[in-house]
Amino acid sequence: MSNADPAGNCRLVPTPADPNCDFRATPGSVSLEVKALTGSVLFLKVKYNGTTIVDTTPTDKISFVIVPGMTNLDVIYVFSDTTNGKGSLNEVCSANTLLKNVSADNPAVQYVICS
Amino acid sequence: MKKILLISSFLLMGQISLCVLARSANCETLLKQITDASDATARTAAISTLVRLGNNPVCFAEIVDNSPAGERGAYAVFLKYLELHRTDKQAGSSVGTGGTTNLVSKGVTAKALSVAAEYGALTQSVSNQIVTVQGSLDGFPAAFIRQGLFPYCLPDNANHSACTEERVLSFLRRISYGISFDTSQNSQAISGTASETQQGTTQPVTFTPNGHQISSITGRYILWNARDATSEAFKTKWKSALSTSAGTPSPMLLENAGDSLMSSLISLVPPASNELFNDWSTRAAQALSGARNEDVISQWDDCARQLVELLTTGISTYHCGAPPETFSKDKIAKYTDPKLPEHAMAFLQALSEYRYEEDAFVADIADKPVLTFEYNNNRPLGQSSLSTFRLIFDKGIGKNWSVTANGAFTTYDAQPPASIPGANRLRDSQLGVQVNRSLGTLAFLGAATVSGTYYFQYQNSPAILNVTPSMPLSGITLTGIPGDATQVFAQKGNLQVAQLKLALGAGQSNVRFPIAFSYSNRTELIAKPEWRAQFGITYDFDSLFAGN
Repeated sequence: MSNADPAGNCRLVPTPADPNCDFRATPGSVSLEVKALTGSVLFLKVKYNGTTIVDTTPTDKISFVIVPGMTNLDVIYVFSDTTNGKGSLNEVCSANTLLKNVSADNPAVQYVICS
Repeated sequence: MKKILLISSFLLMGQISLCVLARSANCETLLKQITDASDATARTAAISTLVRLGNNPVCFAEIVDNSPAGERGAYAVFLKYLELHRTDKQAGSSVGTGGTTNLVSKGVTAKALSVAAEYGALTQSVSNQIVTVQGSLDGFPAAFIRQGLFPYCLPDNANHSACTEERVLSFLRRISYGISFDTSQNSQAISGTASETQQGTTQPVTFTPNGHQISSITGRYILWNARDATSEAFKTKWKSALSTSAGTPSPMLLENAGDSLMSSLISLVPPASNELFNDWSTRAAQALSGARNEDVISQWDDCARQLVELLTTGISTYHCGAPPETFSKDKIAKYTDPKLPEHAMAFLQALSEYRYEEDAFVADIADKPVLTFEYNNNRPLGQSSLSTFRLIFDKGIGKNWSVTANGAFTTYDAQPPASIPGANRLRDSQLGVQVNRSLGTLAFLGAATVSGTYYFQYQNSPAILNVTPSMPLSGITLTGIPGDATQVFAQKGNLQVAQLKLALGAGQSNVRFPIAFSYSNRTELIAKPEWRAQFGITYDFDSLFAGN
């Protein structure tokens, strides 16, 4: 697991070498956004730790409170370019940390946040 | 998904066979990233991405699906599928009961039509006393995809032997049909003709039905389709349509598919708290890190097989790095799921349906028919059958304006009698132009559109009515007609109509109310100017069915 500290007011750090966790986090409120690189991309459905974050209105920003432990962030993305659509998942914070790349090939993703 | 195909094959051919499938294409891509990694850091990151299976659940689902457990699971799913899709159960009341919609009590029934009806292949509009049922041909395969009978092709499934491709659906979407039914009470009449000589006060009669319920049949083919799936205007409209549940197109089918995909994702991928899965991820990453590039694939195969066995039974004969951690019976019961193969199949099917809805939603916004050919076989009550051949041009101008132009000619299906002056097969030719302006969403009234239309008809041959003196046409009184006359005809003359129409949508509902006023210099039968007002109602059933 990475020992890097989040920058500024950022809470999440991607841990690409960790086989169990996608991100290391400090507990507390966090906002994420999905940015389009090819076409448009939105969060269609989001659940964090079993709680629904996005259900009826697709959005490009989500907020939730990270709790201690290993938790799941389940996301269904929707793409306007269903073949080549690409984007990135970033934290809304001073460093606007790039957390993951997202792709129309893989609209359903489960991330693990370790806190 | 392949198992669903297997099931479909069984249903179609009456036989079943289990097949051994190749390694998942999705996993292959991730494995290639490991062997192609430029340095140790990139290689470690690629390995972690592979073993964190929630990052790529398609790879995980295909691992499970391709395993021996997956084959057994397919058979279990197949049996469940058969039970769920039994059609030897009567739906609704039986024939002979007062309120039934069934003409016969069934043993088994065709599924395709009810699937299509239940899942929005059809839209209906009511005009006067004519009910028109219409839809596009892609509605039928779409219904099959939504039912899981046929999978929708995913981008990477080139190795799949059969699936419904987007380009096939795109072609079928160009072809549409419509059937109009005359539902007016007088459209179903019975005429009686004396068949024998009168016997006292009784008279034997032969009855002839005159149902005439199908009043027209229409087929359309889009010759030229303009597609804009990249502009900023498209993206704005796509985002707006996604946020408006009662808009057009409705996002509800996509929303529902997203719900199914989310549920199946959560059922498939072990949660972060699954220690058995986390132990495997750690060991698999170590085993792959220690493997030479040429051994990565074989090592991965062993690890993947071990994972499926561990998650379904808690024990495995395969090797993946260090031996698995020993868990208590309680933990094994907690962390294993014998239904994992079923979850994998459900996920792949949900993904297939989601990808279809995603594509269909984009196509509804991006694809605009510009030039369409239409054939209409019209069988109006009391008139000879007519065939109309029409070209339809439709083009948007700017944000709120659009122009629609029609050019058409109509022929009689049979040569009119030579006794009618000027009559020939070419009945008329037509030209119509309509300019539409969207008024946006008005308070209390919802979406509104105003349009102005001009229509010109060159009447090459007079309109002909078929008459039966013993059975007068509804709404038409003929006097001074000889008893043996079978056809009457009107005066020729060019017809011009102008119309102003306001179409209102009621709030968030799918009901639309067109209100129109029109002026014509004459009609086909009446050579006098006429003012008319029309009021209609339309309903889009698609979102209603999506809501179910």
